[in-house]
Amino acid sequence: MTSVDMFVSPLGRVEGDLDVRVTITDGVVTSAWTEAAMFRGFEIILQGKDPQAGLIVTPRICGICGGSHLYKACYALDTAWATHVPHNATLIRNIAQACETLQSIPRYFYALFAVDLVNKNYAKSPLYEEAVRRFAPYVGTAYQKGVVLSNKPVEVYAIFGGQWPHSSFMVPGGVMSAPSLADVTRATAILHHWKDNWLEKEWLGCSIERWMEIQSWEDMQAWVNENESQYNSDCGFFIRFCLDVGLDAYGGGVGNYLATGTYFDPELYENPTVEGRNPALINRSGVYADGKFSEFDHLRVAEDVTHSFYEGTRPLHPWEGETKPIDPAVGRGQGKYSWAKSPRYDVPGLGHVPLEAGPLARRIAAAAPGAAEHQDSDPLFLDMLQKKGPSVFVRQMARMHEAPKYFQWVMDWISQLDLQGSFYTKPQELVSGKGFGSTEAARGSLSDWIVIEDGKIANYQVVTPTAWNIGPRDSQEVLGPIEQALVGSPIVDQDDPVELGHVARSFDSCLVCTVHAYDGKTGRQLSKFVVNGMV
Amino acid sequence: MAADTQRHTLLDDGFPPTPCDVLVVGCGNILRGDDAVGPVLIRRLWEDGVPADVRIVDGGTAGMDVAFQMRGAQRVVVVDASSTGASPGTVYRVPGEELADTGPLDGLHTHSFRWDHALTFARWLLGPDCPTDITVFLIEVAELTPGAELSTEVRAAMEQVIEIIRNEFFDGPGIDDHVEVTDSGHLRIPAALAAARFPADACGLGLVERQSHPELHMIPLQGPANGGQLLKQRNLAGDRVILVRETLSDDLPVGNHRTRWDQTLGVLVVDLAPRELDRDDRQSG
Repeated sequence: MTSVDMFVSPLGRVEGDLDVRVTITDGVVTSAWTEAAMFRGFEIILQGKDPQAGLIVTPRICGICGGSHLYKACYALDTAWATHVPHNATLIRNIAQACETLQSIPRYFYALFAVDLVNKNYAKSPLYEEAVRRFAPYVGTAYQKGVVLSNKPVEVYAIFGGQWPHSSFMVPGGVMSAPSLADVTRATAILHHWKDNWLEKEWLGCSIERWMEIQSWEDMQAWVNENESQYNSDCGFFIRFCLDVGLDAYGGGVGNYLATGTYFDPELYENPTVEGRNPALINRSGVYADGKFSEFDHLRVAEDVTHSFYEGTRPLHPWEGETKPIDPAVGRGQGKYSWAKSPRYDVPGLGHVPLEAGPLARRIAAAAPGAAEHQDSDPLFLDMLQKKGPSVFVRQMARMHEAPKYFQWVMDWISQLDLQGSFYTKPQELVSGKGFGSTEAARGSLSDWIVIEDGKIANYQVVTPTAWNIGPRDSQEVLGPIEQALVGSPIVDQDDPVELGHVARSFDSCLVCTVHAYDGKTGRQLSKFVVNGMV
Repeated sequence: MAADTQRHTLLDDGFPPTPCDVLVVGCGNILRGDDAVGPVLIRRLWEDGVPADVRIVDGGTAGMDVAFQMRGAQRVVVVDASSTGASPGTVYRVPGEELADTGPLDGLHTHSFRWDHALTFARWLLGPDCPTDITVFLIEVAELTPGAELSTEVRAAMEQVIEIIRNEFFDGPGIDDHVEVTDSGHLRIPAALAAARFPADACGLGLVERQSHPELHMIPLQGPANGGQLLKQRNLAGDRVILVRETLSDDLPVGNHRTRWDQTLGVLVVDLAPRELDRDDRQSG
């Protein structure tokens, strides 16, 4: 038996903020450690600030999910201040949040995930040449269309939100936006351009309506073989390729899922409260663990810091959460190894367990029984989970399935806008209170917990999907979701472990986006061009 | 390769891109001390006002999107922070020829995109539509403490860069900032200036005596309901006019006067100094 320790840093294109260490025994990953290499001090920045500071600070946490950060930060305040949110404002918030995700889906798929499908490890596949023709970075036919057109949905965000990225146009009580008929016409045209040229023509090879008829894994397989157009679309090809090279055979993870849900029915969430949140959601929340569904309750969330570089002795709910960093050198002596905390959820009957967040978790939540009329009810991915088990392939398909689904929702929300109506109700700024706001960023559940005292932020905690997924072991030595997903992966070439990349990227973690990277090397080469003579 | 030349045409959704003479993009993360300098500079330009043909963009940390923003621009200015080990506040100006080759496309990542990646990506994305006149300013950081304000050195360097940008790049036909006092006691305001400063077409007036000459302060109001004066439209071009006779002295300063926007007071200041022409007249007479 041969056992090797591998230290893979960075994960291909990530500049060193997420290091993954794995142990490989006889060509299979037997253990894994995910190490977040960066301290994130956002909670500390926010303490003592004006309650609305979260609307400015949290959208800057990420260059990719800024709109999602704004969305949940706003609802955290809406619930804390007991605001009134006009129907139009809820619709605009839904549209903006969904457009950010519609951008992320193709951009992530082609620029980050599919580029690994041209890895030489797959050269033996009869589909390899076609994969290269489509997915090779910058020159692949599908890569070019997908990446170029990915920008269209956030142009719509900018029409309603003033700018993308980092807008702050959602405010407690509504939105700072008053779209005109011309804005709505333009937004509609942009989205149709995106749908016609990428979603239907390139990705699906059929109409959105045809794709949405798929209810089961058998339906999906039949869809692939239904006609040439679907068989040869990027989606049809991707399904065939995954099955051929075995991406449906590993990367499963913990098999337990969490969705906090997103998008609200305008009538049901006119007066946002924490208690009234679940029934008002369109994209449902829910927990699926050990094969059973349970209702999401934010009070069951706690963060464990046993293996994280923070002080703390027990898992804390975010309202009483602490962010007390310690020197990593000292922490390593105590068995700590990551700057990420480990969010855990107290599942009734199971105790605190790690849950996977992300599109697959959302799709599982959408399959739970008991959906109301306004709620997403979609059996497809629970069916795939039960028939195929979780894998890199199933996780990817869950993500891509949301493109046609969200597109339909966005068009519906746009049609409901009443341009003569109200977009904002001025709230009363209460001097104390607690709030919880959450959404589903493209890559999973993203939540803020705020405690306001004396008109200032007493505590603010952000729990990101990346934290749910890349968190380290907890006090029970249970692996985090990505750690667990890596275990069991077959590694064909230890010098080029592309399988690890597939697994880690299938979660689309976004650690690097917390920083703005510098390159000292480039800088030194430029030093001869100093214009103000300070050197 | 045929496919290679078609990328920029994919972006054509039937609406032309908003044309602009100069696009200024500030990149960086406002949560990391001096890394905020790019977005803070954009904020400053926005508060002070820019000519109508200039577009300013807070690029933040989105990276790849800077390239999409470059569509339709004639000239591009990118401002970013750098960390090279030089003295804090050092300003680097990267010459155009250095920007002609910003490295290969390989190794780009949406979560760690830098200005040079954005330029490389923009050439790939926009092809023949990619602006060729590009200037990059890099400002050396002092510290990157989360939540910290800009350091003194970097703030001073930012002011320098703003000066350079205003002097060298904002030279197009900007907003006409002159107003005219007529002999009937009216003040005529060009359409663009009125639209930029008095979107609600209402202002309050105040005469402020300075040592050398008086200034007329025009305070933007949210609407005529709050008192003050209504800016009336006087022609199809959208030029506005208000009555100022009651506010000014009996000896009306008839003629053209320069204005400036005072950021601290939030008012448009009309400089009522005697005009150059008047002085010349007096000297020759």
